[in-house]
Amino acid sequence: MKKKLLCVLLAACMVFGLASCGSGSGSDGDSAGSGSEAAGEVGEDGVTTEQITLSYWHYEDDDMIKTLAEKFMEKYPNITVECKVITDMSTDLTAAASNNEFPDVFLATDSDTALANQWWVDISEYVDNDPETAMLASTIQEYGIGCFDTNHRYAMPTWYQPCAIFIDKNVLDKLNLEMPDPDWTWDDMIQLIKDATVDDRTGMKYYGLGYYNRLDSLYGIAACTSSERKIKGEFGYDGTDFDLQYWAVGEQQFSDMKLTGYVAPQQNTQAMEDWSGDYGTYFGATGHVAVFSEGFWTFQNLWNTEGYQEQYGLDIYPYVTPAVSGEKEHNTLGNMYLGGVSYACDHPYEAYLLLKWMNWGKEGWLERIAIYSDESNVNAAGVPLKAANMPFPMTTDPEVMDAYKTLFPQDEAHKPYWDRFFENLQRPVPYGWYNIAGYWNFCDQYFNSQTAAGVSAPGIHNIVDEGLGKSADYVEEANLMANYYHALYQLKYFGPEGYDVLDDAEQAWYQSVIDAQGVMTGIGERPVGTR
Amino acid sequence: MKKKVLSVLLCAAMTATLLAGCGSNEDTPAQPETPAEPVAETPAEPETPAEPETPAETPAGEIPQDYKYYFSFDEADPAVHLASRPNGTVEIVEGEPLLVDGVKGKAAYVDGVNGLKLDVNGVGQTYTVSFWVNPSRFAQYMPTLQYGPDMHGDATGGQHYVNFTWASWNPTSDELSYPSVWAYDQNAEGSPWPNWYTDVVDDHNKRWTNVTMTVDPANTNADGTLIIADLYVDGEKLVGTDAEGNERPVYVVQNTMEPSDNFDFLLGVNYWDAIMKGAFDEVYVYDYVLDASQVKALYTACDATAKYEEPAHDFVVTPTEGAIDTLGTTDLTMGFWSDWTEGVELKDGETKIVNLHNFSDGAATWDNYVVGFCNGKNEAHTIPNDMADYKEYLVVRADAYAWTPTTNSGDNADEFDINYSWGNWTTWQTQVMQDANVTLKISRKDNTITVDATQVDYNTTENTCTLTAKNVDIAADDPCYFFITGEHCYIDIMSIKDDIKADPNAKDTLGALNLVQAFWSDATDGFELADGATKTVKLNNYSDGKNNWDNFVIAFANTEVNTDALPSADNYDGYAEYGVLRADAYGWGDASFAYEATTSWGDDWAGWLAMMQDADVTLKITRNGGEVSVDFTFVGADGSEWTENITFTSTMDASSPVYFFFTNENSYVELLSVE
Repeated sequence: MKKKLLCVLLAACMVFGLASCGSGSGSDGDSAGSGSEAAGEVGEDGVTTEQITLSYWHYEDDDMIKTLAEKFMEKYPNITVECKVITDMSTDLTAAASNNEFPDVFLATDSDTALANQWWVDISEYVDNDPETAMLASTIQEYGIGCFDTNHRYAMPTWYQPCAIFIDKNVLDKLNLEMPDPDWTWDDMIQLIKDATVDDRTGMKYYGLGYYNRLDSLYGIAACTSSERKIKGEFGYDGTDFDLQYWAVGEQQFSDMKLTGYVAPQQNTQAMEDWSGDYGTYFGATGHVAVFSEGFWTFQNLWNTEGYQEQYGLDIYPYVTPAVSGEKEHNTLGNMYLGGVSYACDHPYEAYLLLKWMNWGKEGWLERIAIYSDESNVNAAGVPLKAANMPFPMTTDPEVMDAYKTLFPQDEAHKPYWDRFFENLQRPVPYGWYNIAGYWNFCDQYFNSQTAAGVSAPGIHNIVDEGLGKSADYVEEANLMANYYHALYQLKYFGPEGYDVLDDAEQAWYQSVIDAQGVMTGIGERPVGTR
Repeated sequence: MKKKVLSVLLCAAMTATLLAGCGSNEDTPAQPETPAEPVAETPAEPETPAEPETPAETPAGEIPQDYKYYFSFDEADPAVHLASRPNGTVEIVEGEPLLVDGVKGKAAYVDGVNGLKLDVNGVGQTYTVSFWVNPSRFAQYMPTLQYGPDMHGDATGGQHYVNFTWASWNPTSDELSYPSVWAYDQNAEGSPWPNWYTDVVDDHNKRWTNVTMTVDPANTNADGTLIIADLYVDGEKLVGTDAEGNERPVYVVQNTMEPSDNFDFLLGVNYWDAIMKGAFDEVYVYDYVLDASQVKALYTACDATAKYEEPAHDFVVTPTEGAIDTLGTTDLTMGFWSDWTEGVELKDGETKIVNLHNFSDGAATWDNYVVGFCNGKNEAHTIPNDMADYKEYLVVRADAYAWTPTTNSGDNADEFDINYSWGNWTTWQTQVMQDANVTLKISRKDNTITVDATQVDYNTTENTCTLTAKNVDIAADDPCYFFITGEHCYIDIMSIKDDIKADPNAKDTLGALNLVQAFWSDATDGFELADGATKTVKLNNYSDGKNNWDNFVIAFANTEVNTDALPSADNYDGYAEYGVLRADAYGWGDASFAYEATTSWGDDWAGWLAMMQDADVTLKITRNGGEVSVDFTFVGADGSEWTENITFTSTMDASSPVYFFFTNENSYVELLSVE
C-alpha cells in the first residue's frame, strides 16, 4: 500500500513539474522531473504504460546485470532494458554522445568527466520523495554524496566496494599473536603489522602487511573524530576546504613501513619471485602475510572460492578499517561508482527506477542476493556470480542485510567477525574522484606531477615512498592547490557555464577561493545555496 | 527493433510537444561538450596485395614447407641469438640459448635475463607468423613474440611493431590475459596503437600454447588504415566480441613486416618491459596467409602436453675485466680472514664508494664479502692484524651481520641499525650473492660507521642493506682504514672512489647524488641566446655509467623558463622547443629540426660512458641566425679529454627568441657558470 502511495505521489510531482515548466521558476539546471512528462500515459504506479527501451551502461559483470535486468523487465513488462559494459568511460560516452546513442542510465568511474559534460540530470525529486532513501547508509544523505555540495542530486552511489582489512589467523597463530578485537584502533593495526613482520634469517620472511589499497588513503578518512573535523572526503575535505595534514600522517607512516621492510612484494615482480619463488604469486596466497589492506571483492572473488584457503593454508577474517580515535561508528573509505540518469533520457522516472533497482533498491537487492545465493548462476567464464565483483549494499534495510550476510561464512568461528564487520561498516565515504569536483585536476596538475631530486618518477607518493621527501612538507601547498582546483571546477560544473545551480553568494565564494589561489584566510564558510 | 524505433519516435514527438507547450527550450538538457570531429581523410588506397602464393603442392592440413623462416630450436642455430637489454637497447650477447624439451624436439629457453633475437627480416605486407610459447612467468606488457621494422624508433623516429603480450584490457576482469595483441605505428597518421584482448581471460602460464596470426592487407577497417588480422590459438581462430555481441577484429597497423635494416624479431624481450622466463618452440614465418587447416596443422603436429624442466641458472665464476684487485680464487676456497685488499683511509665525515663483483659458493650467508675497519693501513693481501698497534674497530659482513671487539649485532641489536630489503634468505644466499655487482657506500662520522650496500644480482634485481654501528670505539681524530675481505667467495674490486662532493659554488644543480632522476623532471633557469652570440657554459656531470642518455641535456626553446616550473606549454604560455640535445650526441626538435653530430670517441661508447661518470664539461654555444652550434668538451676524472659538436637548425630564424636551459636524466649535474 505504501508503495502505491509513493507512486501516486511521484506521479503527482511529475504533473506538477509539467505545470510549472512554463513559469521559469524551474530553470535551475536540467531537472529529470521535466523530462518524465514525455512519458505520456502512466499507470497507477506513475510508470509509463508505453513500450519503452532503457539503456543501462555499467562496469559490473555483464551476465549479472543482464540477469538482474531480466528481473526488472519481469516487474515492468513494458520496459526493455539493454545493458552494456563500459570499456572506457570518456571514450565510450563521448562516442555515444556524438552518435546520438547516449545511454539512459550510466555509471561513472569518475565524476569530473560526467559533470564537465553535464551528462547527468538532476534526480533530486525522485530521490527526495522516495521513502527508500531513508534506508540508505547515513553518509549518503548526510554528506550529499552525488550532490557535489549543491542542492541538487545528479548521481547516486551505485557499485560500492569498501576498503577492507583482512587478517590471516593462521599467520597470527604461527607467530603466537592474538587476534585483535574487531573494534580495534589504527594504532592497534599498525602495531600488529609490525609485530607480525618476522624474519628468522631462514627462508621466507613473514610480512605484516600486503596491500592493494594504500594505507594513507584509509587513514585520511578515519583520521579524526567528527568533533575535530567533519571529514567527508579524501585529503581532509570537509565541504568547505581541504586539510591534508591528516593524509600526511598516514602517508608518512605507510611509506616508512614500506621502506623499512614491513610490506610484502607485489605480484608479478622480481621481488615477489625472490621472496616466494614465483613471479606470479599473489601475496594473499603465501601464508606469510598477516594483514591485508584489500578491496572487499577479494574475499568472494578469491579467498572464499572453493578450496582456496585450504590450498594455501589461509584462514581469513574481516576487519573494518580502524578509526584512529577508536570511534566505533566512523567513516570508512571505499570505491563507490556514481550513477545517474542521462541528459539523453526520455523517461527519467523509469530510468531512475532502473538505476535504483540495479544498485540500492530493496527489491533489486533481494533479487541480487537470490541470484548470488545460487552458485549455479555463473558468468560466461564459468565464475559464480557471487565471485564476480559482488558489491556491498548501499541500503541498510534489515531484510536485505540479513539475506546478504548469509552469503558470507556462517560457521561458529568466522560468523561473529563477519557480523561485527557488517555492524562496523556504517559510514561509507568514496574516494575523491567519485565525489569531489576537480579532484582529478588537482591530482594531475599538482599531486602527481611533483618532482624531487632523485625520484624515479614524478608524484608525491613516489617521493615519499622512495624516502626523498616528507609528506608533511607538502601539506601547506597541497591544501592551497586542492582548494583552488576544487573551487575552479565547482564553479565550472555548477556555475553559469555549467548546470547553473549556484546562487550569487556561492559563485562569489568559489570565485574568491580561486582569486586567492586557494588561501582560505578570511574567506569563511561556504554559503549554503538557495537554488 | 521496430519497438525501439517506435519508442524513439514517440519520445521525439512527446518532447516536441512538451517543448512547444512550454514555449521555451530552457529545460532542454544541455548537449555534451562536442568532441572534436575527426578529420575526414580519403583513406589511402591499400596496397594491392600480391597474389597469395599458396603452393598448390601443399595439401590442406599439412604444414607448408615453403616458409621464409623456420626455427625448430632442436640444436644450436647461428640465426638464434641471446639478446639482452643492458642499456635500454636490445643487444646480442654472447652465449647459446639453453635448450629444453619442447613440443617437437627441443625448445629454446629464456631465463628472464636474456631473451632471443632471431635473424628474421620482414617478408612484406602479407604474412603469417606462428610460434609456441610456454611461459613460466608473465607480467603486464611482457613480450612473447614482438617484431617490427623499427621497434624502438631508432631508424625512423617512430616505433613500429606488433607484440603478443599480457594485458588487462578485458573490461570484465582485472586479470592479465594472453595473447593480447598490441600494434603500433608511431609515424602513421594519428599514431595508431590498436590493442586487442581475448574474450576469455586466461594467462596461458606454465603450459604450451600455439599462437598463429595471419595478416592480409586486403582486409582493412573502413578507412583502410588498419589491417584486420586473423588470430589463432592452438589451431582455433579466436574471435573477440564486444558487449553487444559484435565482433572485435584483431587490428594491426600497416607494414609490420616491411623489410628493414632495423628489423627486430624478438622472443621474450623488447626495449621496455620485463623479460620473460619460459620456452619457445617451432617458430614459422610465411610470406602469405595460411588457411585455417594449415594453421591447425601447425598445432596438431606438436605435442601441447610436453613438459620441460626449468633449468637452474648456471653460475659461472668469471673474473671481471678491468678489476683493480681480486680476493680469493675462482674455485671459491678462500678461507675466512685469508685475503685482504689494501687498506683505504676513511677520514671522519668522509664517504668512499667501492664497486666490487661478488661470486660466492652459496653455501652459507656469510660466504661473501666482508668489510673490516681498523686503525692502520695494511698492504694488499697482507693480514691487517700483523700491523703494529693493530686495533680493530668493526667488521661488517654482507649478510647484515657485524661485530666489534666487544659485541655483535646478533646479541646486541641496539648497538646497530640494520635494514635490508630481501625477504627470503635462501634466495639471497643461493641466487643473489652467487653473482652480484655490489656498490658499497662506506662512511664514518664520529663514532658511527655505516656500510650501505646495493647488491645487484644476475637478474638485475637490486637488494639493499644498510648497517650502521652506532657506538664504535673510535674518536673523530683517530686514524681509520677499511679493507675488503671475504669467505668462500671470489671478489673483483672494480673501483674505490670518493663519493660525489657537491660543489658549493654551483649556480644550480640537477638531480641528486643518488643519480636517480626521471627525465624532464628538473631544469635550470633559461638563458638567452641572441643571434650572433656565443655562450660558454661549465658544468660537472656525474652519472652511473649505465645508459648513454643518463647525463645532462641542453634544450633550446622560444620562452625563458625558470626553476619554478618545468618547461612545458602547460606551464609557460606559447612555450615551444626548437631542439633538444643530449650529451650523447643525440637530438630531436620541432618539425623542421635537423642536426649533425660529430664526436671524438667513434664507437668507444663504453669509454665515453665511463668518463661521463665524473666529467668536467665545457660547452661553447653559438647561434648564427637559425643555426645553433654546440661544442662539447668533456674532461674525465683521469684527465682524458673528449669532444663533440652538434649543429642544428629548426623553425627558428634570426628574429626568433631563443633561450637554452639544462635538464637531465639519472645523473647529478652542477651548473657552474654561464658566460
